[in-house]
Amino acid sequence: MPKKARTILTIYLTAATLIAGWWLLAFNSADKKNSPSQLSLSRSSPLPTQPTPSLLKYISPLERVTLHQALAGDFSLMTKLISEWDVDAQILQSFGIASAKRISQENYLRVQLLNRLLNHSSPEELHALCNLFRAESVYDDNHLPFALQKPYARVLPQTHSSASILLAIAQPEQITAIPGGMRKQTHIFPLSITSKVSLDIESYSSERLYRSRPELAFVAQYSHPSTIEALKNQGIELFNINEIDTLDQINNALLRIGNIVNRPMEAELLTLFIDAAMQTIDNRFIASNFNAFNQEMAPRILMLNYRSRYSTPTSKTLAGQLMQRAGISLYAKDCSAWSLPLDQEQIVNINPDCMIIAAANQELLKPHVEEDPAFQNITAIRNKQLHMIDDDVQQFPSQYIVLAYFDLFNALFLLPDS
Amino acid sequence: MKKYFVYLFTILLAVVPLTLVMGDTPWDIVWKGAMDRLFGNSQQWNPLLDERLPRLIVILCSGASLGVSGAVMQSLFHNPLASPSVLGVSCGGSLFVVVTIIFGWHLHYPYSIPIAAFSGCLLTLLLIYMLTRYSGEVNLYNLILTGVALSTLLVAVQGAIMYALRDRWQLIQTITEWVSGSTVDRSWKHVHMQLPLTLVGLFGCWNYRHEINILALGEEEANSLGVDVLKVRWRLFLCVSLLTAGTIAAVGFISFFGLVLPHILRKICGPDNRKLIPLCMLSGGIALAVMDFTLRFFELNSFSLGNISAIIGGIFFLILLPQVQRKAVQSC
Amino acid sequence: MAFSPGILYGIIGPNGSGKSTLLKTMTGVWKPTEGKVFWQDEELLKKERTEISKVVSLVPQTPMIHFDFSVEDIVSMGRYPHGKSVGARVDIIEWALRIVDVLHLRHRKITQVSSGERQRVYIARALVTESPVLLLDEPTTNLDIRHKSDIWKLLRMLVDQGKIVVVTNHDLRVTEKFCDEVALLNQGRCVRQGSFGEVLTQDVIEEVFGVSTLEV
Repeated sequence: MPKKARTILTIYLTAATLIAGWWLLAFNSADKKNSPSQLSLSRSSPLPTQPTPSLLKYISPLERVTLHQALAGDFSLMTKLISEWDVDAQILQSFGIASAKRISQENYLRVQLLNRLLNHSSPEELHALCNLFRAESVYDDNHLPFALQKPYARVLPQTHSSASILLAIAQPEQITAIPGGMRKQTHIFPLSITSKVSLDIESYSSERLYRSRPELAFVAQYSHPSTIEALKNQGIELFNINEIDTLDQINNALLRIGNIVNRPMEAELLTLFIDAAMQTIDNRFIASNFNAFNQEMAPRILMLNYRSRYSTPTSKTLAGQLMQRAGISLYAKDCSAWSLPLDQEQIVNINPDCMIIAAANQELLKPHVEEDPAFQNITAIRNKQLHMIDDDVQQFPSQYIVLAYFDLFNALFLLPDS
Repeated sequence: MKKYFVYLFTILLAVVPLTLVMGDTPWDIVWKGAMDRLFGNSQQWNPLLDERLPRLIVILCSGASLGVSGAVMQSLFHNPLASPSVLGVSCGGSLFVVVTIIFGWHLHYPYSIPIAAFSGCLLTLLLIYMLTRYSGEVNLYNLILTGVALSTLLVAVQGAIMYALRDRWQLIQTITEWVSGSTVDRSWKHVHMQLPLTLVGLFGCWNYRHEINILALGEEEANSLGVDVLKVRWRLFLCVSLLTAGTIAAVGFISFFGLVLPHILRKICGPDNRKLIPLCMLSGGIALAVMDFTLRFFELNSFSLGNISAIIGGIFFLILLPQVQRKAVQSC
Repeated sequence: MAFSPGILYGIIGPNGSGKSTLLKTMTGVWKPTEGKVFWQDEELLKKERTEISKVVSLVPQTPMIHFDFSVEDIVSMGRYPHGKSVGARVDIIEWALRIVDVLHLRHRKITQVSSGERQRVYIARALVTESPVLLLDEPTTNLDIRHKSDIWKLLRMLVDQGKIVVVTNHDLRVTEKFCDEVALLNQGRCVRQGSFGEVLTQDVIEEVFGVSTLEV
């Protein structure tokens, strides 16, 4: 080989060897240091309940799949569960838990009545009942009135929240299209539900819009401007639902949507079910003696999100509000933002007893967090109190907020696989 | 010239301890933990040794890389407004890293990101050269046209991928945060990702500082003065790619920095790359460290390092633009 | 075409005849489509870039200025073929600056000197390469009469020192006055090489330049 070529090869080889060799050495030794340990293979444990034994075994089991089925629009199941939960509350009260929440007598009877009317009425009777129950008008978030003398036969949900509610309470033929992204979230919206509506809003064209002729579209302030324009040009009314940031706002939106699509009874029943479900989970927190911790003994629970860095939700978010409802003190108490970024050093200094991370890629993220050298001395990691929950429902303002609350409880007090 | 280095070293001596001291944990605890680690038996994670120090190294490397890359590209392209991304190499690195994040490989294999950045940058450079050679002579004009065309395509592909995945909002958030550039939670892993690339890249640029001066005169003149233009230019582009790959791997995207900093320094110390390159190395690191310190000190959580760099860079750019325009008119 | 030491050569020809192209080809800046360049019986363009530059250096006609290097920096770049420490031979650099009368401008930016002074700076750069062959493309175009005269005297001195000096020039009268030999180019080909009178006969003037007389 000529000398020049040898020199050139030497230069490039030296550089390549330096880079490759450095990486091999650095990441090889890192792999050895962080080799999977018993810590990452073992399941997370439930929070130890103190100071008195849990009363959970005395009340009915609560399963996510059942809750999910009910929230998807199974009104009979909703009624059955509400009845069970009322019994649970009475049991807890009989054990001396005065703070156990029961559905009010009035609402209980209302649930039973609505369920019977929905199940035992013929379509014509149902139609007449809906006309009776339906409000005369509703207002959207821009304070525009929508008269409901004649109900809207076909609607177009432009937001995930409105589509989620409609899939639960409306007839499929009333929904012209749904956001395509919902079809991919099969863990929230099974195919059996989303397949009832064939069209996606993203593939909508003005001509298809014209042919399907929705009378009203549910939009928000973040809806695509050109879509809004196209809808207006077609003469389609726009119902703005901009703020769904709290449980009350979710219920309020539910009721308004239900009235718009002439499903007031279903909407009311669903709101009552949501309230009852949230109450029953509150009771389960009480039953597990979570609230029995005094201030000093209360475990430090830190909820986190992880994108390219960690952050903790504030009370502006639904997740933060759920934490507060459960009696868990938020780290970001007085923050005007939606989330507060935290770096590893801050998390180490907080030294939570329990870490809950809401993430989409839970299987990948859990070992990544457990094996992070920065976290090895955090109490939560040492005591296997790292819990992963579904991020999609945590930030989803719809009836599935119940599942978000359930996931929170489940992470703390039940084994994740149960 | 020496006085600039003195000033810069003084600033560096001020910034380094400030960066290492500032943090959530009280200094006495941090210091004690560090001493126990270094001289005792403790294996416990220490903020100073395991986060602040590697973060400082990464910031200094990134600043130096961006500054030197910008200086080199501006000299090679005879344009004081060229930047490290003018050839589109950074777009290739970015695309590969985005794909890595989408598939979650960065959680499986920690070195997947530097390899992705490195591969993306180098493959893009090779592709630019191949396409330029295919379409004609490998000169600056053709290189820059090919680079612009290819970077447009790569950015479009990345945009298409992001659009297709727009429903996976967590992923979009992750990618958005990464693209904005961040020095949060850097560790020795990031130092190892970046440092070998930075050392090779900076050494290469430093080694060719004389040639860069001569190349700044023009290809024909450089040729006639004895510089093997094709060989040296290729090696310098390779070095810039390595520096870009290292920065992308360690901190993400920091735009405008590599354009504005060398431009300002050139006004201070002149275009001689024998002075400019070491000055860019030092001041790039310091400037980025100061920006990072400012973000942390004022707890500006709404901004990333890339945002601040782009904003400040843009402001400087607007201030400098009239002077550049005046100079262009005068030289006409 | 052949060039020998001790002779001041002039390359003449109409616009587009290839005068600048010839010089750039001789330095290897442009690759010849046919023909070869020899130096001391060896093919020059097959050597390393730095070796070529040690043999032949070019003073360009209108160099582009992209950055405001100082005059001294520009001149010192001419030392590159001799090693990377371009500032090492300060004595040669100073000599070159003095001899073209730009020593007083050494610290000034190249963008701040006149075009004539700039021309002299580039000549100084060619001088510091210490190459035995010096190619100059229209070196006196932008110079005043005093500096024109000084440059030609300088070139004569270099020729007397044994260098090969080849100059392209539009001004035929100046070429006739100062050059020992001329080579006439037309459409990329050398028509004739020899003394001015031998080359520029009446029929050649008419054929190549399309005029009947060299007087304007």
